[in-house]
Amino acid sequence: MPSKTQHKRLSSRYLLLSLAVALVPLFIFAGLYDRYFDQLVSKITDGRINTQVAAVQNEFRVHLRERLYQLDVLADELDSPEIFQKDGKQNLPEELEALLRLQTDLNNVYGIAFFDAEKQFLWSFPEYAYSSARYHAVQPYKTQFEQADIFGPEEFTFDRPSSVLLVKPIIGLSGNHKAPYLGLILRFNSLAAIPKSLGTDGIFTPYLGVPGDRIFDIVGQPAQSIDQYDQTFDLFPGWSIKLRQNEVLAAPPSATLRYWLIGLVMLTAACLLVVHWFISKRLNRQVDTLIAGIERVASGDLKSPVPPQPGTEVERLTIAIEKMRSQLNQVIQTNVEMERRASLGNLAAGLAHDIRNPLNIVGITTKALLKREFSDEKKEMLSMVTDELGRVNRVIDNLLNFARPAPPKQENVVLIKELNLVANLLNATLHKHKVSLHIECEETLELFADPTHLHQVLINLVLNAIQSFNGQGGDVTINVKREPEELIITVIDNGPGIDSTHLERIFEPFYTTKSTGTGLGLAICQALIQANHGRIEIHSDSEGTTVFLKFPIQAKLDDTYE
Amino acid sequence: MQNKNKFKLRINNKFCLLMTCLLSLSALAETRLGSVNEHATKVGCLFPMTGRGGLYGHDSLIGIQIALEKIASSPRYPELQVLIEDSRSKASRATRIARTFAQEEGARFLCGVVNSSVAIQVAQVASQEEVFFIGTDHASSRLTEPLTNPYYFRLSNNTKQSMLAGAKYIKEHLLPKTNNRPIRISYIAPDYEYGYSVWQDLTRALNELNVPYQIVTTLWPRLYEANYSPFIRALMEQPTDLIVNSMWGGDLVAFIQQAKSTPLFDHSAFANFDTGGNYEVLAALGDDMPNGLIMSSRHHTNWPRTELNHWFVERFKAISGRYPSYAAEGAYSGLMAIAESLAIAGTTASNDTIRQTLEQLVLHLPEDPIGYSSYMDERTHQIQQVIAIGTTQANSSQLPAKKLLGNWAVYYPSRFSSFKNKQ
Repeated sequence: MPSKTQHKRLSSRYLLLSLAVALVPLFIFAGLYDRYFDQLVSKITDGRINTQVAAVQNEFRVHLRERLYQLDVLADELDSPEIFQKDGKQNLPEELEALLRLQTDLNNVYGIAFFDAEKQFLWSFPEYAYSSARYHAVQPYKTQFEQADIFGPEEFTFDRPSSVLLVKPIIGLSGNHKAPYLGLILRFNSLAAIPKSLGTDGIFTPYLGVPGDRIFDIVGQPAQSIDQYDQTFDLFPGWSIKLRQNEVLAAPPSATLRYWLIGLVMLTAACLLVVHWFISKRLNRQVDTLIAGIERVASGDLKSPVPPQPGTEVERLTIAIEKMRSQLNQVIQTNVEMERRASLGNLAAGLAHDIRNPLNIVGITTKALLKREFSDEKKEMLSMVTDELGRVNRVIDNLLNFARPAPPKQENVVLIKELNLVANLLNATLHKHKVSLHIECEETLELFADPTHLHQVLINLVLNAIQSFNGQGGDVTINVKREPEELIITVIDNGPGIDSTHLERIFEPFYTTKSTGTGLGLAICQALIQANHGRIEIHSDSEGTTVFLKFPIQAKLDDTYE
Repeated sequence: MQNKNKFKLRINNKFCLLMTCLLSLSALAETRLGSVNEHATKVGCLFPMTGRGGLYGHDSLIGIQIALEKIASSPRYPELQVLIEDSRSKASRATRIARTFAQEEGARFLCGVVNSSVAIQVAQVASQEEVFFIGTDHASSRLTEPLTNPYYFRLSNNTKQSMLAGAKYIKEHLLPKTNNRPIRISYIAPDYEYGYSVWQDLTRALNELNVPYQIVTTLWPRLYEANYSPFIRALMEQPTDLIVNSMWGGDLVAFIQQAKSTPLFDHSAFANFDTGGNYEVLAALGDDMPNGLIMSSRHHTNWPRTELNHWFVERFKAISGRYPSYAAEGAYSGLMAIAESLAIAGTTASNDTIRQTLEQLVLHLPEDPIGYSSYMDERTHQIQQVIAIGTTQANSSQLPAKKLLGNWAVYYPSRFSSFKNKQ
């Protein structure tokens, strides 16, 4: 049930709504941004790459055309048919050798190759720059660039870098029917490096596709696989530029940042939910405790306090409810007491009327019979009837005192005198029960109270103390002291004390633990003290019992003015 | 100390008269050093004096100057006049100058040439003109093995020798770290004769020493390439145990500077067995030179710790205010070889006699450790020298270089060559 109602709570609804308001636009924005960014990136990269590829294609053509021009320059100079023979090197004039050296000083040219009209390799300059076997090996990789043949590149080996042969016929050579061929032995790595500008921004890795379905990277290494290229741009037959998009760099850093941001928001939302769950649980626990306390009050248990929850969110509410319970309890107790007093008053009035009058008649009659009786035995019996009637009368008096106590006749009482008087009255009883009475009171202390009521209360309390000793003897002390606000008379005994279950009900009328008691003594004491504006409290434990009679000092003034 | 005093005395009474620098006696030769006597034996030297290789030319010039000082200090050496011209590392220019030296200046010896491709063509000119070509700075083994040119002699280690030492180093120091599997090697070299020759010599040496290896890739950037980043990326794309680099001079400096900002040197071991330890490279990189790179050079400023090497390095510094690259000691060696052969055979000796003298030549050079002298191999016309391979480590004793080589592994010719040191 709690889980079902959880989402109905205002705080839960507020939280879910807040999360929805914060997260839904964020996800919509992230989605739109993602789409926009992708489009922007592809627009920029595609546009840029097309421009760059066009530049690289042009650079390739320019590079080869420069080499063709170099061949043309050489062809103009190498116009002797003797050079185009197997031993043509021997027929090379010194000036032409110097020219060949000059042409091969370039980093992009390894050497110059000479071929006959049948395009058979004759010799090369420098001598070690090329060979018939190498020429034979590149025959399968022949392709055309403008008026020239391109052979190669050679198969990759670890021994030396590959070369490409650019071969062109020598047109118009004197004395020859068929034109021989002249070739430049080109550095293949220079060609492979031309597309390197396409890879400088890190988005693409450029490769060079060459005849024979072979692919090389920009430093002249053969590429591992031919299936992973995203774009291909033709250069000339058999030759192409291939681009592979780098996986890591395809997603720009900002995209990664975005995902981190979304992840962070999700984490924050999760943290909020967890915090909310913990706070809800804590509040529920506090409210449940409060509700349990209130329900106890509602079920009539006004005596059990609502447990305080200091330091919590409901602390003030708990204090207010506890105050309400306490006051409600007091009001109800007062009302009950008043009703009980009223009931007892009616009962006592009835008893006085219906029992006391017949009893008086019985008493007078018994006393008359006693006077006329001469038999000792009968006299004793009549005396006993008279005594018992007296006792019944006293019970009825007590009952009337409690139900309708006589209004106090207050006067300034010198306490030490009153206490000594009480001690004298009880002297015989104290002696009989082996009890010592100690009085501690300054001689100047006075109390504005009804002395009769005070006598009755003190005698009652000292007698109760004496009875608590069960004949074992003990000490009773009456102490009087003045506090700033009130005067306190304390009756202390060192008897066995009163059980806590009895202590709660000790002021209830007719509640007694004694077999012969009426249960009205303390109730009357309380009524008499309250009639004199005081209050009575009893503290008791196994070490003894202490009764406090507290009279406000201010009350006396009020009463005086009244 | 005794030798030093001798040199000082002789310089005072004889050499000062002969030493004439920067004399413009010819429209062609930019620099002439040595004797002004018209009967002095003429030596035409070709070095790049401009561009990335320019430092080699300038260091060679000072090396020649030091050699001339030494030659002048001893009465047994003949008078030499050295003509120096900028080859610009172009075969066309170098061959034209070589021919002019032989035909117009009457040079009996050619020397120098840094670029192996250029050297091959200069050697052909030397053969045609019947003058001796004393190679000093180029290292391709193609010129000497097999020997096809009787007028060609080389006074610096060739790539076959340095790669044999490199293969030995790989076997002793790197192979044990691969847990009995073949060592994976990537190779990067300038795209010309020298680069091919180094690779061929290294693989042959590895095979000869039965070193199990697997080739990961070979990359061939242009000589004087400006941007090595695609090559560095390609080297890092595949797992490799060792990257062998055979770039030199400014190319190697540029490569290391560009690679230093990448994880390349953590990706695998890095070695340059022929020229990487050249002081020029160490000085140019300064603090940028990473520690632990495996390097060697044809001459080291801090090895061997002999009196002769110390004298050579300090003399070079006294003249130029800086420490020498290996080109200086190469040029010094070349000129001393010419002087020694003429001292033995006589200045009027026939070409055959001079050739035979050169074929039997034994010289004590600054790069020779104590107890060893460089000697010419009669069969290949290739000098036989000790090769020391070290690793880069912090050392500020020869500023501006902040890193020098240390942890030396030393390889004598007799340890890996069938040709024994001749007595």
